[in-house]
Amino acid sequence: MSLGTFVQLIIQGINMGLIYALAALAVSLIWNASGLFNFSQGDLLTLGGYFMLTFTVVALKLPYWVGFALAIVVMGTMGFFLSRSYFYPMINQKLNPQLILIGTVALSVVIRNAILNIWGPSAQRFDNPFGSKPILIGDAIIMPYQIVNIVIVIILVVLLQLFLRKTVMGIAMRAVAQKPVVSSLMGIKVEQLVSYTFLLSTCLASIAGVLTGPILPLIPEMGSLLSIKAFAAVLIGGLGSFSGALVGGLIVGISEVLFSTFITSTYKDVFIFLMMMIILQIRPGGIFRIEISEKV
Amino acid sequence: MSSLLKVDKAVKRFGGITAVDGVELEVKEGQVVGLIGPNGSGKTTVLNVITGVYKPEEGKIIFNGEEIQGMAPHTIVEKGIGRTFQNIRLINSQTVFDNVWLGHHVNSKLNIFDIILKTRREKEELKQVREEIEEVLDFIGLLSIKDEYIGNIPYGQKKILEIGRALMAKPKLLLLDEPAAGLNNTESRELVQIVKKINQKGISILLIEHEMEFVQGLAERVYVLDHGKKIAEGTFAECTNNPLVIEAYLGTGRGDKNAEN
Amino acid sequence: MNKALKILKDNFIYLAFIVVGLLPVFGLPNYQFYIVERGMQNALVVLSLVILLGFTGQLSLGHAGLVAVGAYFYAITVKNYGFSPWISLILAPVVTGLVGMLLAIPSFKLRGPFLVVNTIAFGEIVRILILNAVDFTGGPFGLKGIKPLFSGVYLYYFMLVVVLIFAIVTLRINKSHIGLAFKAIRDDEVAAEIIGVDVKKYKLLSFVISSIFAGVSGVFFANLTGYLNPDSFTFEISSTYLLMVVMGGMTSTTGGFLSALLVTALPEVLRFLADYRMVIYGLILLIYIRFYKVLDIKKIFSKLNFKKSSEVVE
Repeated sequence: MSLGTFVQLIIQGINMGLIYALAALAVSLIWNASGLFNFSQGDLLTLGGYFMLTFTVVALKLPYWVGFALAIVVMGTMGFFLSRSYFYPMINQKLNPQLILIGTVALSVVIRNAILNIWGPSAQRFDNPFGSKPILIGDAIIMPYQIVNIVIVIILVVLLQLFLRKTVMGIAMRAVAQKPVVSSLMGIKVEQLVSYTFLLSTCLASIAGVLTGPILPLIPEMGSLLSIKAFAAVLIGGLGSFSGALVGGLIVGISEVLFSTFITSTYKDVFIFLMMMIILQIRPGGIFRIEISEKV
Repeated sequence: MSSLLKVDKAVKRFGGITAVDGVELEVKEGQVVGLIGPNGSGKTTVLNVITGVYKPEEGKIIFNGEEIQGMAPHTIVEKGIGRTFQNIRLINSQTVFDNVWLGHHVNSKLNIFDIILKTRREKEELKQVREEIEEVLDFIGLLSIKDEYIGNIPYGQKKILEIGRALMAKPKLLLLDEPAAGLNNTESRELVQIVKKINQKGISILLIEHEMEFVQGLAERVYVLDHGKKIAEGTFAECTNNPLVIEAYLGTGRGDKNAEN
Repeated sequence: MNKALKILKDNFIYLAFIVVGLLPVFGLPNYQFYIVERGMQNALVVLSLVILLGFTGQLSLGHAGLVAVGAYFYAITVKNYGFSPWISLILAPVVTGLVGMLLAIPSFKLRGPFLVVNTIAFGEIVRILILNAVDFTGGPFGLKGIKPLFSGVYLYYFMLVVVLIFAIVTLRINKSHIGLAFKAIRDDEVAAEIIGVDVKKYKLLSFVISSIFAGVSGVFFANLTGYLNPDSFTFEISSTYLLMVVMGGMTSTTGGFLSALLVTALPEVLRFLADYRMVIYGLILLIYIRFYKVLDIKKIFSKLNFKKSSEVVE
């Protein structure tokens, strides 16, 4: 195998990995702010993709970037109200966390079947404006969208870091996991915090959904396929850790591509899952473990 | 009197902090021993090291002539060390009766098949356990509320209930972690009586307390900890007159009970 | 009067079984008959989750994988190796019990979402293996013509008896010191260990019992459909099981049994909504969970004395 082909594979892996990373990041953010693990993240991602489909292909026929922006706005608004009307009240009632978690499973059933009914079971695609003419670097064949996706995610990560470090809301989102009191000291209501985190996470879901467009065709079950690997990514990286989500996503994405190419694509998912299980046995908190000790 | 528990130069570190620093301590059979010290002095950590919650990095824990450091907590309960918690840890979804029953767990000889098939062994043990539970509840004065759920009973009763649960395991040594904390004077006096009664049954007691007064009149021997180190041992009077002890207590601003919680 | 009422309430589970037992007498149409049978088969999985999730607090989203192991073991041994269906019926839960031990291992170290994702991964691994072990399982084409234990109404009654036995087992575990140990692990794992519960051992036990139940359910699935295909054992099916156990109140044996029957029948009842029935079904569950505290099915159940109000999981 030439170096070029290898580079091509790595870029392919990074592209897939970034999708997992965005989903993982959203899961981590919500976990930090509310102690809730959102099992519907993958289906929210799929929904974002389908909104994009509607906005740019099926109904409105908007230009790519306008459709992209609209998908983010619609999904973000949905996330905000979902939190306000559904998740926050349950967190506030101190309902058994496992039940709230099961609530997110129920949400994923609803979203998946709603997609199935609205958009139908067959695979669909929306175009991207970056062209399908491959760029040749040495003998590596790289698609334009692969470069664009990587650039978009890098910009996004920088913006998110700025948001989480420089704004009051962002700092509260990071701090609340350790000390719930902090956010109220900073004058932010927990309800606001949780709702804005959901907003952020559904925005991330829609971005990931749109970026998935050129990689995978849209099907209603895409959510469950992607989410299991995104969950693997978040746990490998370390639940609640920003870097963990990115690193976990990339590990899963790259090893998936390499395993398919060099060993077998049939058992690539099995490989990812076993890798996650083993890593968690050795390091139960993931790579970027956040220490949570219990006082007896 | 032979030695029942011996903590031999135990060391426990958390990151860079040495929470327990070479502590030596002994409880003889039938004895009530007090372990006191200001907040953050490492008393509870010593208790956690004894009960297997933490494994000491150095040193030995010898119980009944056997080294028990590094054993799983449930195994140590089986060996005969019972304990209560500083911050109450009862099973909130269950009744008073069930919580005491849980204490009997280590002594149960029933397996899953006895339960599924409702064997005669099961019926016999259950009958006997029921009597024992009622006996224990009577002993600690909570028999009248045996069917109450934990959420419905006051704090003081919860603390005493934890002792009852520990007693059901038939321990040789009972470790009480700040049993008097949060109790009012009446409750505190009742507790002293219960502790004395338990000791009369031949159960040795290691009493961890922040309040020195509670230990007075109960413990025949007292150890004082500060910053993870033993700074004094002897009778209550000897310890309270020890300048190191006085300094440790005055220096850290006693009375701030919540600091350790 | 009050006493009679109490006896009735205490034995509600038997009443429920008698009613289900009488259904064939009234002559159900074939399809509805099949739905009740599927409900009973699902009830076994729900009881399995009542023990694992309700009592022990270990959430599994991989139970479809366990059911698959039971179903495929039965089908392969009977069809390909000519085992007697009865031998396979007995061996299948043994095999799933052993698989359940594997599933239990992550629970020793992991909790909450960490454990749940492990169970999802387990379910997916089982499904992928079945999908690709074409020589044994038929892969995506599935296995056809699996010989059942009984046919028709005999199978119905056989299942009814088995489910009743498992329900009694669940009730007995609930009221035993083992059930108490499970609940101690659920409520406060650290404290449970320190007061003398061998947490690993009881988690293992809970997973094994749960897996045995799921394995038997798998055998019944193979009996009922006569055809197995990996699509019947997806993550989505595992979610459905979970939703059934929540609807039943999580810790209630009677609630679980009834919930399995009702939730299995629900998509059929909602048939007039055509394609939207799964959405409606999901929404009902969302609303149920959202208003769990307001509705407080548990309290209603406990007032009816189906079980002790101690079971309220806060």
